[in-house]
Amino acid sequence: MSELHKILKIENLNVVYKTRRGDVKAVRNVNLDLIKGETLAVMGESGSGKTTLAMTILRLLPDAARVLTGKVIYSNNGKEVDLLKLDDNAMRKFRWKEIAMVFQAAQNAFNPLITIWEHVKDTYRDHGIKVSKNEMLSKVEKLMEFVQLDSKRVLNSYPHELSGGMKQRTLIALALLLDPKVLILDEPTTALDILTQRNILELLKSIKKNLSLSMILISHDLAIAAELADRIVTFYAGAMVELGNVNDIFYDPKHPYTQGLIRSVPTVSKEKQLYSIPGSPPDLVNLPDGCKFAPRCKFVAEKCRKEEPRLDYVKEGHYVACYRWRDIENDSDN
Amino acid sequence: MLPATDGGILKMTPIIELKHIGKSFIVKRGIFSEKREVKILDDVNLAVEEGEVLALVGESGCGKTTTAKIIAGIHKPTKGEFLYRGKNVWKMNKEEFVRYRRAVQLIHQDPYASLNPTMRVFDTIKAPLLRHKIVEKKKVYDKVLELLEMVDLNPPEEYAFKYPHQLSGGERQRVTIARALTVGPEFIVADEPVSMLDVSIRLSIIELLKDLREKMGVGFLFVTHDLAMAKYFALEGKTAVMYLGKVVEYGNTRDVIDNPLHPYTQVLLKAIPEADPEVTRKKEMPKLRSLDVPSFLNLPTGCRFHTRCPLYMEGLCNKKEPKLREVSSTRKVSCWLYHDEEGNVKEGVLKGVV
Repeated sequence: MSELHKILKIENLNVVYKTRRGDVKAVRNVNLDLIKGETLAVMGESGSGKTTLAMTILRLLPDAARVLTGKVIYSNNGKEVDLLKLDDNAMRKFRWKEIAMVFQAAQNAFNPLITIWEHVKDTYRDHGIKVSKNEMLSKVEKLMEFVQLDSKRVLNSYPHELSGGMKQRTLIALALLLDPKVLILDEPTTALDILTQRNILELLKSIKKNLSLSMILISHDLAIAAELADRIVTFYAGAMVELGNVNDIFYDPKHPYTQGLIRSVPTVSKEKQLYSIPGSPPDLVNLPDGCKFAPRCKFVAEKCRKEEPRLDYVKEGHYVACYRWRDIENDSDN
Repeated sequence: MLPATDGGILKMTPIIELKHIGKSFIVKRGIFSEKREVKILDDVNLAVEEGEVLALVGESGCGKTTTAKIIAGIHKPTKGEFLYRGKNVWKMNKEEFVRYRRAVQLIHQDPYASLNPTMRVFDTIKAPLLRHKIVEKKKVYDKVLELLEMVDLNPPEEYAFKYPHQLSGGERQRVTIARALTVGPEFIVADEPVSMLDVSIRLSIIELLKDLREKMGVGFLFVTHDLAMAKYFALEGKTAVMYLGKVVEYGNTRDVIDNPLHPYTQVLLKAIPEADPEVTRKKEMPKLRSLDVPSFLNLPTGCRFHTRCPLYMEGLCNKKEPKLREVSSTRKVSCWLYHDEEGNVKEGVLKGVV
């Protein structure tokens, strides 16, 4: 896969949050690439490190967070920069122009006191871009049309005057304002109604089709990943436990946690036997030794409790961090 | 309870029955505006038999939680009758009301808010046991442990002396279930019981509730926006679909989900993404006439779904409101596609449908 352009390379990333109880190990030993043009879904539960990962890429971590080790290398037009080494000013110019984000809970991502048009102007100004009002207007009108909003009405509105779905579409339009190469979507449809959610999903699909964007989709909702992702990475307790293309992950998952997740979610179209994963996720301050999933895993072996497994090669593009994936595979009726 | 006779045919009295239920709230927007009455529920009719499970599905703001709260006795309906075993709950004497309150228990959506943070699990569960004199004081400890074991909080001696903040979301929800079980309920109202929990935890809570249903014969009102979960939980039971304060479709769960009749149910099912890439990527949703959900302050005339319905019929749907009517002995729908204006089922519309 050497000819593929890796627009983002995350190398050996470790992030903790300082708390009185000790360090919360939010992201552990992550090595992950984003390939140009792909949609990579980061799947995992709350506390699995997926939002911390996104915030690290954009350098928006809260004060209590520390990046212990690692690089986030952005490469475009033959130039490479380590985002973690940029100074604040350079990062501010970089953010939104190169990598933009659609935040979770759209309703809280706006400044309630200013209109959407002022948000547009602020976005240009804060990222150090000087363009005329007419240029701004024509760009934003094009985007509003793309996200199916009435730009005249929306631009003059205050955030509270828009419905949930309109806010989310506006947020997506604002994220696209400076033509970013990478778009990070953090739970883009959570808290939306089913019909509105479908509308946003269709919009994201059309962004995928029509704009040559690379996307990182962060979601706890397997269905959203099934709908949009090209590749999926499963996170558990801050670390990657499985990486593969969407079909590998859904139809041939190797990690017992990925398997458990997929088998515990009902669908309307198929009546299948469901299995629940026993126990709950570990405390990120006092992580168990060895594989962090071992206390919940029905395939656990002695080795699992001693040393944490690294990602093992399954096949082209498919990796799993489990000592026992071959045994589990043979036990096909698990 | 002995079956009542109705015209010579044996007929069970439903455990829960809503008859023409309406619920309005008074709202006042801003200092100078007039008070307005907002009708959240309008003419809701539902019945649940002993031990039966009814899934109530719909999007946020459709009135499903209000319905749940009426059944749990938290809201008093402004119109119609709410019956427990054939008796109007709001006309009961004190003794009957206490009996109803014990029989019908509510499990909230948010296990982080529904437990008192200053009380240990033991005290949370002990309180109703003593208040309702279910066990003697000296047997309380054993009873609490028994209940904790029942909801798979093992070892119970350990969980009994924990505070809510020491528990995970799933464990908290188990405690609220144990608390509901203290009084030996006949009917549980579960309002989105797993929507705030992590994906890997959800199913185990659902399985626990299913277990209670199967082993103890507890009836359920299962309120959810997740149609897949509704299908899973209420597969052997009934499903009602709500839109803007009205039930638009009702029937056996499998019929409603696999073969939806109302255009709203059809659109919902086509809209939900599914955790199966091949299935979900093939879904095509018919184009809605409008994306915006009308406001309760300004409800559409005629059928409430007509402003968005892909199968809208001009001159009929916007003029006359359809009623929830039977299309078969087990199925009801409120849509002009299926009934004529006299309320007769139209010919040919139910081909291949239950």
